[in-house]
Amino acid sequence: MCSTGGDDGETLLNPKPPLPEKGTLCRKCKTSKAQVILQIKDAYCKECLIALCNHKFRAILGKSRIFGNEQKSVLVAFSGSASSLALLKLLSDAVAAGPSHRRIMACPKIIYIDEGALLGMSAEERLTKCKEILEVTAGFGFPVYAVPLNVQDSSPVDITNYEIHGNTDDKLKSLFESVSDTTSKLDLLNRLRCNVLSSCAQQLKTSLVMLADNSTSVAVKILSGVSLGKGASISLETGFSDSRHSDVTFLRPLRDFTSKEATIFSIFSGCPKSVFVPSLLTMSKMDSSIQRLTETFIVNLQNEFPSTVSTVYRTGEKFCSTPSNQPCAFCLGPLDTVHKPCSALEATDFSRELSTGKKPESSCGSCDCKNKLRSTLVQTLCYSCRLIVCSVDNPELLPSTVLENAREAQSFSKMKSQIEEFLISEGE
Amino acid sequence: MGSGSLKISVHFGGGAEILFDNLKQHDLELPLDNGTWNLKRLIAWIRDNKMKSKQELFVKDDSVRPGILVLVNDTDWDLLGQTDYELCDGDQVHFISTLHGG
Repeated sequence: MCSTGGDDGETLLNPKPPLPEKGTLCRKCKTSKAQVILQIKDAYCKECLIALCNHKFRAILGKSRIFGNEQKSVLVAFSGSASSLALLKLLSDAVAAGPSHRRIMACPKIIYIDEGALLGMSAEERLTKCKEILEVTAGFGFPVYAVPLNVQDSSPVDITNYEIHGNTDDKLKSLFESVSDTTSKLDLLNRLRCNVLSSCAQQLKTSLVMLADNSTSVAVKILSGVSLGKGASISLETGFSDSRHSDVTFLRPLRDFTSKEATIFSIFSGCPKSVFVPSLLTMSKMDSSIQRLTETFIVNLQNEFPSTVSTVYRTGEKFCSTPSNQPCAFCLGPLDTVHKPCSALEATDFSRELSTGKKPESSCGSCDCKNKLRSTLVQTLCYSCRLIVCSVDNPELLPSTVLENAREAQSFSKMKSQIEEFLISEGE
Repeated sequence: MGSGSLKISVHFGGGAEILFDNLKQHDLELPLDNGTWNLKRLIAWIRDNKMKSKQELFVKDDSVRPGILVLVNDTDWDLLGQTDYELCDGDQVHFISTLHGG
């Protein structure tokens, strides 16, 4: 295995070693009784765990040099989960720390995306959730905004003034109802969330967005990304920073924290109890989507072999993205759909031709569709976004920004082909 | 033969509460009998008495489903012998789901 560690392969195959004895002391201070055990053998008491998490968080941000000597505004995406709370608490403590304790010069704003329309929640239920979110975040002293998940750009408002407008939800509901399978719905949801966060960051004049992805969710994203054909953009979707959206950089400062570490930290550091916000994955059957299946696989395997998450995570860190001339109109990632000889895409198309027995009629290549909008749209999309768009019955329901990006990309490549003979190519 | 009961408090978090009528805290009085009340027995008791459906989302074999953290009195159950830990009167047991977070 290509790793610097050495015996990584063996570590993965060894089952869980025996649990430590009761009354084990904290490995750091060696005086207090340990209260939590991480990564098989690291036992810590409450105070040392809190100190460890704070130190790790500030070190990750400090090393990235994103925050300098001047205050920078940062939008924290808050979902109500324990990881979101851990992120808020860590950031809040880092901002309030003294200069000798690696203070982070940030000015946080919190944003909550209301996705209740997707799950058929009533307006009352959605507003109750907003109240719960406010109760939990108010104590940190940062402004809290709410925005509905939407196909068109919505403006973030102060969460106390948040109102539900039924008509704007209809387009969103129609879009999701026209998607055939849960896997594509989840993928589409993730794309929409990113677009909403990016738009809100711009409206709130913030160039940084922090997400609470922990190492477990990153490992799930890496593996399910491979299944969904996202090879070109995995490193952007799971890396520490993602600058696909112009003017807005997405950060994942918790990606080195396991879900257990983040959850225990949020409890030990006295955060309010997490707010449970239902999602498409809630109570879903194990085989309802690729994402769910991957999560079950990784979490179950992690239980028996505690180096699973770190191995997937470290392997995923080795992925990188090759930039392309035009970004994908949907995810703004690199386009990986140029038919090079012996490319994976060529092989996939060839298999499809052999197994279905027909040549793709439209230039889409992913499905036998005749929809004109769709066949011109997919030219401007990367492979995994093509799969999403092909599972949407009516592509006109897609966000207007996506359709605009596609139109721009189309006219750009038309113009390029018109003046191609006058351009000096790289070879000359 | 036993008299009295074992009083403990069970808390659900991280979304696990939706399996238990959305109630986060359950104060229980477990009957004292010849058997010992350890976490293994408690989990089975919860499955049989507090869950009408979707037991597989909370319990797997004799333990909790992977992805659910268990804390007893603010201490990780991995440090207390996991399912073999014997409950004491007044114990606070937390079951916290860490699945689909972030």
